[in-house]
Amino acid sequence: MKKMILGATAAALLASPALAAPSAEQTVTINGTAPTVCTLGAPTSANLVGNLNVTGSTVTVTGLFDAADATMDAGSVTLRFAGMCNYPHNVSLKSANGYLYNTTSNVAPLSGTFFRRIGYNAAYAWANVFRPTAIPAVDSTLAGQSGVAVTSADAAVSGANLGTLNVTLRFDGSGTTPVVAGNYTDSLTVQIGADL
Amino acid sequence: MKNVLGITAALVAVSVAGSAFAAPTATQQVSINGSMADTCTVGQPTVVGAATNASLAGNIVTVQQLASAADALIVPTTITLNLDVMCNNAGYLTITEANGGLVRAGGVGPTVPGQENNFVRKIGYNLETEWDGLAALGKNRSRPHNGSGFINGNAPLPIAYITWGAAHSNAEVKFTIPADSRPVLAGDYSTTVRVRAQSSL
Repeated sequence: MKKMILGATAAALLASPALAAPSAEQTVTINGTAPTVCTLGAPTSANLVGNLNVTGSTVTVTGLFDAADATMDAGSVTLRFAGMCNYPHNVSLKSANGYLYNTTSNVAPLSGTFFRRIGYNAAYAWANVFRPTAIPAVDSTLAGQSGVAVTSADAAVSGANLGTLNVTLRFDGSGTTPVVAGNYTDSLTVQIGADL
Repeated sequence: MKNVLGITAALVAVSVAGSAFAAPTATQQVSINGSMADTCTVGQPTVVGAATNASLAGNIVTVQQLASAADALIVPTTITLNLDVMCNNAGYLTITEANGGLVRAGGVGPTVPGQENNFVRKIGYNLETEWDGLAALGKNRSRPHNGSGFINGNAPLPIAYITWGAAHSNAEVKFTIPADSRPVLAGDYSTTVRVRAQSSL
C-alpha cells in the first residue's frame, strides 16, 4: 500500500468542485458551561486619615476617641478589595445597625448631652459605578442601642468586571459633644453579585 | 453456472473417448464480474485512555467543569477520541474545526467597557490528530484563549490526510483545554469538530 501526504495535493482536493464522491463523516460537539462566579478578597487599607487602625477586615476607631474630653475626631480610610464577577451583577453595602452602637452600655445619661451611637458614611467605587453615600452618614445620636440595618440602593453593573472595589469609610467626629464610654461596633457587608 | 461448465466438460470427454474425428461441439464462456464502489466509513467516536474533566456520550463531549465555581478559572481538560475510518481506495480524511475555539452561546457576552481582555470569552484548545501513521500539514493545532470578542473570523483550514490506497485504521483526535490566568465569562460554550473521510475523485 503506497501512502503519501502532499499538502498541496490536499489543498487541491479540498478546493475541488463538489462532485459527489463517496464520503462519510462524524461530527463531534464539545460543550461546557462556565458558572457565574464572583470573588472578593480581603481588604487592604489606603488613604488613612486620622488615628484609625485597620487589621484584616477590622477597622478600629478607638484612636479617634479623645480621652481628654471624650469627643471623637474625624477620620477616614479606604478599604481596597480585589474583586471579580464574570457576569452582569450588582454591588451593594449593608450596615447591620446604621451606626456604631454601644455594646457595653445602654444606660441613658443622667444629665447633659452625649452621643450614644456614632454615624458614619460609606462610599464605594466599582467598575463604572460610584456611590459617594452608599451608606449615608447619619448624625451621631443620643438614642440608645437597637440600630436599624441600612442597605445601599441597587446598583447594577452592566457586565463582567475584574478590578479593585474601593470602599471609603468616613467618620465626621462628634464635635464638642462627648461620647458615652463603652465599646462601639457595626458590621458592614460589602457584596458583588446578587444585591443585598 | 458450475453445472453448465461441468456438463460441457463431460461432453468433451465422451467425445474424445468415443471417436477419433472431431464431432461437432459447442462451448459457452461465462464471465463473472463484480464492481466494488469506492467507499469510506467513519465510525462513532470512542474514548481512548482516561479522560480528564470530560466525558463522551454519542457524539457529544461534555466538559464537566469548564471553569471553577470558586474563581471562574479554566479547569484543564483532556479527552482523546478514536474514530474507525476506512476507505477502500485512495482517499483523504479531513478534520475540520467550526470556530477554532469554544464560543459562547449568545455571543461574546458583556463586560464593563475596557474589561474585555480581562476575561476569556472564547475558549481555546489544542487539537492533536493522527491517522494511520500518515503525516499531515498542521495535524496539531493550538487555538489560544481569547478575550477580545473575536469569534469566528476565517474558517480554519481543515487538517487533511491523504492515502493513495485503501486504508482502515483509527483516526485519533486528542482535545485539550489548557489553563489560563484569566477568569472565563459565565455562559455556555461549544464548538464542533467534523471528521470526514472521502474517496478520491
